[in-house]
Amino acid sequence: MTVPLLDVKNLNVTFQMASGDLPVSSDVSFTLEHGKVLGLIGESGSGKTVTSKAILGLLPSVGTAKSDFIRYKGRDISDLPPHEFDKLRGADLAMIFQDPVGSFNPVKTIGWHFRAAGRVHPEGHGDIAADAAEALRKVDIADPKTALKKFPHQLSGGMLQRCLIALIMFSRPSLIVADEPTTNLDNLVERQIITLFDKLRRDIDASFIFITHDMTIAEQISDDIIVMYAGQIVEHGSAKALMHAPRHPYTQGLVKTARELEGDVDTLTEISGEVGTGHWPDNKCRFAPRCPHYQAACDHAVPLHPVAGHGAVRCVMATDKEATR
Amino acid sequence: MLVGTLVVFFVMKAAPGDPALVVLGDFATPETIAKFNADRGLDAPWLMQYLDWLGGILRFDFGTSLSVSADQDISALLAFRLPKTLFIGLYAMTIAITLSLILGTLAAVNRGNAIDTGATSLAVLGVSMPDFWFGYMLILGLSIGLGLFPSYGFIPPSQSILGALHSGFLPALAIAAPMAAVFTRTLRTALIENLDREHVMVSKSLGHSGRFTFFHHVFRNSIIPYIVVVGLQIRYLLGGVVIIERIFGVNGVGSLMVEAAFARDYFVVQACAVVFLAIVLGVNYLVDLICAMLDPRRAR
Repeated sequence: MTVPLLDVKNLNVTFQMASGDLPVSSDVSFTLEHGKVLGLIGESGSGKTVTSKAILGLLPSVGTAKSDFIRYKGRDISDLPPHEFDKLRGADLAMIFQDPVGSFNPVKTIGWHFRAAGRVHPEGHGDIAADAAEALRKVDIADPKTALKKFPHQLSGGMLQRCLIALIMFSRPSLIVADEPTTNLDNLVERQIITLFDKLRRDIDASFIFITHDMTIAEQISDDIIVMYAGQIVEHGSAKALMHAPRHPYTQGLVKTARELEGDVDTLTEISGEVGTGHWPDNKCRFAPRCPHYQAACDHAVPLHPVAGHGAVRCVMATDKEATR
Repeated sequence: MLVGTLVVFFVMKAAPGDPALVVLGDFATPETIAKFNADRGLDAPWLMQYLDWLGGILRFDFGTSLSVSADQDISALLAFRLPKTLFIGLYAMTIAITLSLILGTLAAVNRGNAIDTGATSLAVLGVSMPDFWFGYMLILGLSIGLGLFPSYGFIPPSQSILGALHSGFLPALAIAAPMAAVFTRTLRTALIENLDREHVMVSKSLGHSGRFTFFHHVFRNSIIPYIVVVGLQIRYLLGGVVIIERIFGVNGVGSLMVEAAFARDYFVVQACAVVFLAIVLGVNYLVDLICAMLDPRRAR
């Protein structure tokens, strides 16, 4: 068996708050094979972003990550000293954030950002200015030379998003985490960006962790999908299996709503209740208070367990025998 | 500037006291007073006096002193005094900026821990201390107590730069302390705000070192509001100069202004006020220029 691109085992992230330690992500384990796209789904506060930032070593100072290991191309990067991690970021691991406008320094030109990126990872660049223009051309910026001279506030949100994608891909990273990169864009632009993403990803042969709360987008772009709830993975499987035969009641709720959105309905099904933040119980199912199938067994710790022919599910009702419900 | 000169002129005219009485003293008769005023154009209508004075300013002619340094050309008086004040002002500014750059950066980088608390407390102390009180404390401690610096008098930079730096240290520090405190807090707040910006995270995610990211994405952006505040504090600096020059016996424009005010020498007070006004406006214009240069969103 080949070494997976990314192999994460038992990642726990805690935030040290004034009120005490707050667990924000618990026992997250997954692997990502080279060239694949992993969709990471969940509502706000479910731990998607924090998990990804922990992998890239980008947690805020209040955050602490503990894990058995985080292996990138077989090398454990969970305890790398900062200057070693700097070498890895950009050229190997990269992240695209939600807000394209905020992602650029407002007092520097677009071109400055490319030059800086080219200086820190000069490998593979001949003439940085020419390469930057070429990178912008690839994301359909009509006049790259002019765009490079502009300041961020002189470009539109959609253009900035494409510039940002070009910038992140400039150093040809092998693994890109995209954190809801289309949240701030309208529907039409969103489709274009997703398509562009996929094309460029194949160009530079990069793998993707795609964070979103949109099931339809996740299905479209991902090979595998992880659904997170309250800091835990509740379901992990192929995009196809999850979208067509979801096994966790939470995933079922998400898929149902997504299908309704595609169709023409008057009312959307809502998963009642709220996830709340922090201090989730360890010894019972965290989704139980909102679950339509709540039963006595849910009051005990529920492990994420493999389900034959599907993936892994954290629900007492998901067993190998029962295929559909 | 024009509005400023109007205000300066008419506020001085409205001030109580008559320079003729101060100069001529108890033996003044109505005739000598009338002659004194007529000689100096003080009997003309106020508007004429104003226009006359304004015309003089444009030619750098502030008239002649009435009482402080009788019949001396005020321009010459200013030329003699201004370099000392500018030296003390720049000295104070340099101290304040240096201190605040160090303390503000230390505080922001160590946000929340002991270094931050120390620097922030120092800043609160600096803001809360009246500068004249701090001036006397400095004299007590460093001058009378330890004998490190002279307590009174100032060696002008034209005589000896080292002497000026030494003898000007205490007055400059007294003026600088409250400003340094304000600058420190401004810089700390701006740095912390910029540390949380998304482009800082993006810079790190692209593989830039912490130092590169801090300098180009945090410090570079924070320096804009910092410079704005430095520009605004110029007014405070000049207010401090007036008081501190008196305390430390610096023979500058600030003490000239106070002496002139006591002697009802309106022309001198007006001249000093106009000089201060020009400095404030000049610095603000400079700050605007620098900000437009540093922040493309402000540039046209």
